[in-house]
Amino acid sequence: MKMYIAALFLFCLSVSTNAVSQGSGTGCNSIKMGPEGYQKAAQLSSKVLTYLEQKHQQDGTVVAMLGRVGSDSPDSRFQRKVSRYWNYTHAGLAYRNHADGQWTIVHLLNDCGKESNIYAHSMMTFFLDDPYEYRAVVGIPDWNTQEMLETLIVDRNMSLALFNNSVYSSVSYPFNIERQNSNEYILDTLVLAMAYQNGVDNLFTREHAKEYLLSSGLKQHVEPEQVKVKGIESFGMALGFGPKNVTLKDHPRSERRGGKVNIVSVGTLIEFLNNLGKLQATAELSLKDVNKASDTRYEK
Amino acid sequence: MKKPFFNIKHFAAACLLALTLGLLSATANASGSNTLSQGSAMISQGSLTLGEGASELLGEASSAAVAFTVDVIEVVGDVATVSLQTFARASEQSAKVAITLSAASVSSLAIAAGSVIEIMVIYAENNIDVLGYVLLEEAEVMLFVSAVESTPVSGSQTL
Repeated sequence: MKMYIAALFLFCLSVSTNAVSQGSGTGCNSIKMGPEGYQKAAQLSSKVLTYLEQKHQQDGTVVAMLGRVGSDSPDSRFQRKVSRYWNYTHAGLAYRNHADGQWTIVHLLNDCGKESNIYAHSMMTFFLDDPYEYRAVVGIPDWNTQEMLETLIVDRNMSLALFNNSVYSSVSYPFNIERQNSNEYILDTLVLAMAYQNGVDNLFTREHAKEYLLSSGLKQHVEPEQVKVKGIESFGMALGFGPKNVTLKDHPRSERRGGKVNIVSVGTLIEFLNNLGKLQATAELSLKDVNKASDTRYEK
Repeated sequence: MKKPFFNIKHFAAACLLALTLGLLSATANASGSNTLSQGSAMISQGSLTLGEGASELLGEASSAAVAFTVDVIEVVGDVATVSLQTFARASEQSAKVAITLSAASVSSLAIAAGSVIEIMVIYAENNIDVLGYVLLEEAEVMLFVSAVESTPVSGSQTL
C-alpha cells in the first residue's frame, strides 16, 4: 500500500512538472504534419506574405517581427498578460532581403532537451510547426530599427553570435545569460540593434547584448510575462522530474519561492518596442478556421 | 517487531513505477511550439506542371487527393524530372503531371518508378487560387510544391 502511495506521489510530481512545459513544447517529439496542416500553413503564410509585401510597397518595410500561437497559453498560467498579444508563444524576425530568400524568418528552436539552434525558415515552414491556432501577429519596427536589424543579421550575419550555443529552457529568465529561449533570443537581437543605434558598436554576442540591456537602462522597458508555477511543479523539477527543456534554476530564488517566474513573451517583445517608441505598426492575421490541424501525428 | 515505515525496496519499486507512468504522461503532453517540426523537411523547391487532363481531374477532385503512378524519372545533372500519370481505362486518356526538383530530393524521398503518389491541390482561403500541391505516399505527406512564385515557397536551414 505504501509503495502505491509513494508511486502516486511521484507520478503526480512527474505529471505536474510536465505540465509546466505545456505552452512551450517538450522538445524531443517528432511531429508529422498531414495534408490539412500543409493546407493551413500555406494559407496563413500566403496571407502574411501578401500583407508584408503590401507594407513593403507602401513604406519600404524590410524587417518585421512575427509571432505565432505555438500552443495553448492557459489563462490561469499567464499572470500579467502583457499586451493584447500575450497569448502568442513564439517569435521570429522576418527579413525581406535575406540570402536564403525573400521574407526568411530567423529564429531559435528547441531541438530536444537543452539543445537548440538558430534556423532560417521560409514563411510556410514557420507555420508548419503544428501551431495551436492559425493566427499570426506582425510587429513592424520603426525604420531605423529595421535598418539596423538588417545590417546586423543580413549583412553582418550575426544571428549565431546572438545565440552563442546557449543552453535552452522554455521559461528562461530574461535578465541573465544562464539560459535562453526563442523569445529571449529575439529580445537579445533587438537589444543589440538598439545598442548599435545608440552608437555602441563594439558588442557582438548575446552576452554583450545582455550586459547592455542591464547597464543601459533598457531593462526598464522590458515588461516580462509572469508564469505561475505550482509548488509541486517547482519541487518536482528540483528533484529532476519533468521535461528536460524546462528548468527554474536560472530564476532568482524569490521568484521560485513566490511561484511566479518572469519570461519573455511575444507580448513582452511588442511592448518593448512600443515602450521605446520604436513600434511602427502591429497587425493580427488569421485563417477563418483558426483551429489546430486535426491530422498531425506525434511520434516519440 | 514493528515494521519500519521506510523500506528501500518499496521506495525503489515506487520510483520505477512512477518513472514509467511519468514517461507515459510526458508523451501524452507532447505539443509543439518552439520545437522543430519534421514536417518542414517535406517542402522542396521545385515546380509542378499540369499536363493533359490533369488540371480538370484535380479541379474536379477539389481538395481530395488523386492517385498517379510514377512513369519516368529523368535525372540530368542536379535536376530531376518526375513524370506521373493516372491509371486510364481503354476509352480514356490518362492525365499527366511533371514535377521538376533537385535530384537529391528525389533520392531522399525515395521516389521510384512504378510507385503510386497521390496529389492534392492546396487552395487559398477563397477556394479559387492555387497555392501549391501536396504529394502523398500512403496517406503521408512526402512533398509540398508551391504553385506561386514568391508565395509560400520552401526553405529550412540551420544557421
